[in-house]
Amino acid sequence: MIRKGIDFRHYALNTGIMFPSIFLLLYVSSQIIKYISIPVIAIFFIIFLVKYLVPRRFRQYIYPLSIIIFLLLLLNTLTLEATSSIFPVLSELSIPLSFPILSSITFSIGLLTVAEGIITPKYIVTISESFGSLILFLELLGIVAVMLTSNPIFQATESGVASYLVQLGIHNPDPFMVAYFTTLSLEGYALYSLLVFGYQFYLPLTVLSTPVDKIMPIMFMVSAVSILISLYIREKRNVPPRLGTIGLAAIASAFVAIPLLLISEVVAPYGFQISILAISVTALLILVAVTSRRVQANETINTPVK
Amino acid sequence: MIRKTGFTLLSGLVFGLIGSTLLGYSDAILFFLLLTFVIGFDIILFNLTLASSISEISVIREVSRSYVRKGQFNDILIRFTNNSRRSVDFSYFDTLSSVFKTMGDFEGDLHLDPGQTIERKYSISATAIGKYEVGPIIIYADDPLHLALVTYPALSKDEIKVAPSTSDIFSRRSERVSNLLYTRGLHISRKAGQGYNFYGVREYTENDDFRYVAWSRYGLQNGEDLYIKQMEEERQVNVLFVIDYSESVNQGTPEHLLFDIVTAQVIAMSHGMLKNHDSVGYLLTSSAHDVFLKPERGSKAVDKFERAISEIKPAGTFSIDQTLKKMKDRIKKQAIIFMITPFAYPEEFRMKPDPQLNLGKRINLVIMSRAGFIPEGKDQLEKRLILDSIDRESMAVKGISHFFNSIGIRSLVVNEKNLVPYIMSEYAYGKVTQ
Repeated sequence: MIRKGIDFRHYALNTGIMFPSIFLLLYVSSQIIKYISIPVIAIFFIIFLVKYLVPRRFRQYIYPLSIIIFLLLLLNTLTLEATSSIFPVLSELSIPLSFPILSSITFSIGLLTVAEGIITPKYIVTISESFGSLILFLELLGIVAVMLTSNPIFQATESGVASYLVQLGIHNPDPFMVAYFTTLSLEGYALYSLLVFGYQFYLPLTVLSTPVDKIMPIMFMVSAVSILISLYIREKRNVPPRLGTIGLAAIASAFVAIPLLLISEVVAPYGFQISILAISVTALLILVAVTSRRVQANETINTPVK
Repeated sequence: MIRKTGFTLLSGLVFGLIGSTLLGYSDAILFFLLLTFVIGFDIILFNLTLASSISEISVIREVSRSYVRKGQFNDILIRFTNNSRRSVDFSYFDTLSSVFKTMGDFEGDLHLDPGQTIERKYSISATAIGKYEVGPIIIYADDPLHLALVTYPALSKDEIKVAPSTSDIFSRRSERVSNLLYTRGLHISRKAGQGYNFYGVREYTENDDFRYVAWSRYGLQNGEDLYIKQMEEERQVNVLFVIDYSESVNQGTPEHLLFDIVTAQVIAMSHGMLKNHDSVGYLLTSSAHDVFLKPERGSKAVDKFERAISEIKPAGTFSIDQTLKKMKDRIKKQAIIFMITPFAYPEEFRMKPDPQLNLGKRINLVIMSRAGFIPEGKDQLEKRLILDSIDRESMAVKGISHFFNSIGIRSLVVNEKNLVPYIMSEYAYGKVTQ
């Protein structure tokens, strides 16, 4: 058996794709490390290590098995909350359902996604994981921004959320917890207002600025270029496909996307940002579907040459 | 057509766009928006340019021979012409059965400028007999990011008939044909007795006809001894090979198929029988096939058989009941019948009365064991399962063989190696006892 050498180009591209997530991970973790549970992160890290230490044929079962065990423990915990346990051993297996534990799980999933994305052999998996982790860390960035802000609107909302948490029996909520629920409630309200009134409200990262704002565009650029390169080199062909169409697609998209973003920024104060973007993306997807259909129709008309 | 990767990517981007828009982070929105549009435009441009031009590529395939022998190389030429007004980059492959070994450009990538024609050549050689399709030629292309794909069946199919190879049937070279194993000695059909040809002399006995006394030999040893002239007669028999050509014989690997081995050995034996001036006929039978070639002398019989087997492939199911019915009306003369079948299909013949299974002809039921035609298992478990099923089948066919022997039909379970010796010994026995 020929043992393949380590493909550094592959890992470099994977890292490039994950750049925004990695950077956000570093920034966010520096801000929230004191509010989250380190043992939970350690457990997730051990699961990750176990996956790569077991024989290759068992690797695919590690995450599903971990999820099943976690869900069973959760079920056991919820059962114990509702009733008294019949078997004493089951009470030993309950997991504490506290906020730091749950927020640590969220953070650990993000951490794991980034690590998996860097070492995974398939580019498309890396790209998918980069999108997933990016959204997760942007969410955490929003929470951190709310936590660190001195904006009166957000502070007022925070104090409202804090008093509500006190009513729920949580007397000394930490700033991260308050910011977490504040951001979630603002997002929920934005979604509600979008669906009910047709516009959205209070988008945290639109109003608040963070120290990473100036560096993030560079990270996104590196990621976008890495994604396009990885897609291009994914399949090897004897006759390499011409790059002209990619260039054309990039120019065309720049001509459309940048004005679109500017328009969406202009209409953002009126709450129509999501609507504008949704309409434009839907139009693009319809165009993709229509042109794909036309090609299929051509295939049936043409008769084979004999 | 968008590939699964394209759908996954677009879904991921839309998810990212919704997420980042809900959070209101403009850099992330621009990132997702730009990527969505680059991917979207890449697919749209591909659909409008290369994908629409690919159907304008004309393809012509020229097959040098439509009738070849197994193992013989057959040259194929494919000519691609770009009739569109754009340059096209595409890949192609010719759809081939697994029985073909290939050499050359049966697949590849091409770049064609408008009006340009490119030729590609390749050769195929079949590893099994039968009629096989070559094609269609599929041409396909994808966008530079490999997110959309267009496939187009550019050319319909050609048919190639494959006859047994000369090496398989030991050719018609005299040294092979006269081999003792396959002919059991030339002129085996001579029988001493009445006839036209002089055979020899022997001492007179009281029961001999006085008309055949060899007077020229009278008193040769002691002055009063008498000798009788012995004459000989040539006796030709009809031999009929009834071959199960159902799906059950389409077993083995592409290089080692049961029906291929059986037909090749039948042809080799036929040559031996024809050399003995006997008539040889064939019945290829199954629920899908009914090819009857009545017994005749000369190499024409084998030629017809070769043609017949090169035009069909095993199909359908086999039933001994149906086969006997087919044979009943067709075989009028006395004949030695060899029925070759692996008996793979369940059939309840034990309940039938014996006369229904008895044609009044000399039938030799040759049950082919499929043990040598089962691919090896990949792992230990698969190997054990295969061995177990071989054992079960072996026991079942032995039981069937015992049953037929008990009702007067000579039967034996044979494998690839002892098929010829068994049939030839039964043939020799049949000739002298008929």
